[in-house]
Amino acid sequence: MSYLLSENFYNLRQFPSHSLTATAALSGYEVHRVANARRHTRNYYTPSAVGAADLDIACDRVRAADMLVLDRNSNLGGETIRIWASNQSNFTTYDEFTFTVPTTTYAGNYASEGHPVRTDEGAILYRFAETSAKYWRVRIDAMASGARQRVGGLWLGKSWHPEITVLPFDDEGRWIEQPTARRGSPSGYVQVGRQSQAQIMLRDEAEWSEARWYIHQLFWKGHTMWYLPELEYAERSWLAYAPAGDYTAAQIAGRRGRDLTLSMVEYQQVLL
Amino acid sequence: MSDLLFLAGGESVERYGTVVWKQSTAQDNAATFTRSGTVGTYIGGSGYLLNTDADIPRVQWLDRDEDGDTDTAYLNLESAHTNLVGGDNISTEWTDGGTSTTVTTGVADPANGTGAYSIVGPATVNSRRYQAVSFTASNPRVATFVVKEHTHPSSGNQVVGIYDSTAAAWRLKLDITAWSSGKPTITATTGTHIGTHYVGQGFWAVYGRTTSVTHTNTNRAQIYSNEAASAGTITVYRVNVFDTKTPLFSVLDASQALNAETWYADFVQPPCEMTVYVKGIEHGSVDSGSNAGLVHIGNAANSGARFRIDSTTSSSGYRAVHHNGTDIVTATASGTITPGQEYELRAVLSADGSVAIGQSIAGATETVVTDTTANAMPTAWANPRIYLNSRGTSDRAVALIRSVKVARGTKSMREMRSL
Repeated sequence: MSYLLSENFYNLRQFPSHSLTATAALSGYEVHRVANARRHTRNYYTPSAVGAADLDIACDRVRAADMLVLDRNSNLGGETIRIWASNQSNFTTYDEFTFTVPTTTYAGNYASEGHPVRTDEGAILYRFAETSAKYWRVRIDAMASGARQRVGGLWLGKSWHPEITVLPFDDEGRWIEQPTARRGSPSGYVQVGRQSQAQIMLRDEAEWSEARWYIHQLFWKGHTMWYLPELEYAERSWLAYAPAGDYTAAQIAGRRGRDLTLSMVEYQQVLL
Repeated sequence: MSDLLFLAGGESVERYGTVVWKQSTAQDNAATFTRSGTVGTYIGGSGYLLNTDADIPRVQWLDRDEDGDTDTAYLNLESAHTNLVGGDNISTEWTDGGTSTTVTTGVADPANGTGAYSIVGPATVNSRRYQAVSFTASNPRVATFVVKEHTHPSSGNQVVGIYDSTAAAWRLKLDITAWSSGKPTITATTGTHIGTHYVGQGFWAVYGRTTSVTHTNTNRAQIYSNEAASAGTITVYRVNVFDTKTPLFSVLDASQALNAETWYADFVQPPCEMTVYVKGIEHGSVDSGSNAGLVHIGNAANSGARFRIDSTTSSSGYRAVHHNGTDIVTATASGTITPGQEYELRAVLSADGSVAIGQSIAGATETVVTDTTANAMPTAWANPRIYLNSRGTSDRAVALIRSVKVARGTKSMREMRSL
């Protein structure tokens, strides 16, 4: 089963009414950088002092979430991360989901609830028991003496997992760009990234109405989306964007649901 | 295209992440919810009992299939209640019944703390602890006991209930005859067992309704670690007693008051042929003999043109009601919903203004009652709003709403389930 995470409570372009705060940040490394669509190694949030770091979201209403992703440009391997979900602004009582950031990538790493997975490029993917709250906190415990947390990219939201993805599908498609060599011009470098076109058979209009939010309103409006092709191989997950083109989800004669074609290209595939 | 016009409740939370459905950013509108005060507990997705700030609706994550995962969402809306139990400390604020029970304090509780207690009873008949409660009227009253298995006596029962010490008579006696995989097996010897719900960390909330109390007598909430002369221990977190006919689903601390909750969303569909579907868990509202709204399309004052699902002091079940501002037609569902059962209601407003109501209890075959009396469709509702768990801003009850759906036209139960 595929899981798609296009929602991100930390993304104020998706949720302009959300309020994002954090433990005091070092100048130039403010908390909004965790969701500014940049994956550069110098784009991250870091606190100005050593200690636990909290990244808080006050949502505009109660919202459910079940997945968190920490991008590759973070330094949190081996550290403890806590997700708090509360309906009290001061977090007096809260749901807590805790994990240690893995430092090793494994083949066939099943992303069960509560089990963090390190992807091939070093992002951390974590599914947890779905819950709902108005206030969310990602707390990173204090690191070893002298070290401050670096949170490169952070996604927290509710994933969407359509029931039927038509087989065969390739979760590991690649694209390669080779520069054309010209006399007197310096040679370029080969670019390679992942791409996929997932064919999803939506069961009925009810599933389509969900897709309208997660895909139409988010992914197809230019927001990035974490693509987990198969739970059993979660290490292959990658960050996608919708390339230029036309998008439809046509109703198909002879069956109730629509066919949704998801074209995805890897976003900023090269770590700079 | 789908005929769905509105969707809210726990199912919406699981599908769209919000209590009210949305399919676009522009549609991401909040419903209006008010509850004054900071008292309002709910079971979170991690399985712990948590609290809410004022004006934040509570989504209860329940373990309906009892597999240990609190993974099914319900919107919980409740009327005002005050806990008549004045002390939570079983050790210092509850009285031993003359049987030399001891109390272990600092026991892990469902709120991720250590605020539970274990009543340790010796091999003495009727080993118990109790606390006096005062009612204001001689009517059936309700109580909630949040308990956990410890050591069931080798013979006899453990007991929770309400006892009239003046009359030396039980008003509510719920015998815990056994524990099955940590869940208490309840037999109501006196009064009514309303239901048992898992609240996390091994604790179960046991709900009961008394026979009519004599409020001028001395009444007690009582917990027996063992009724027979066989030692037993029972773990207790909270006891709630209410001066009402329907208990809260949520749990209060001693003397706490939950203020009334009002929930409504905009409903812009004008009067037309439509179907309103509700799926929820019955918590005693329909047989409480009180006026209670479940879904109400109309204004806050419950006047003018309106369409609703409710129960009343005299109705034998949930009703579909269409009032066009002048005349009223109703259809009352047949069949008794036992508290704790999951129900589905399908209220139909036909093109001629007549109504019908279908009811399915615990997934059984739907039974339908139709009132064919026509009632001219109004041109507009008294107010384009949909209220849940009330009739306007009155007549609230206790609701656990899995799903409220409104669809265009007359739809079958199967069609409404699939929307």
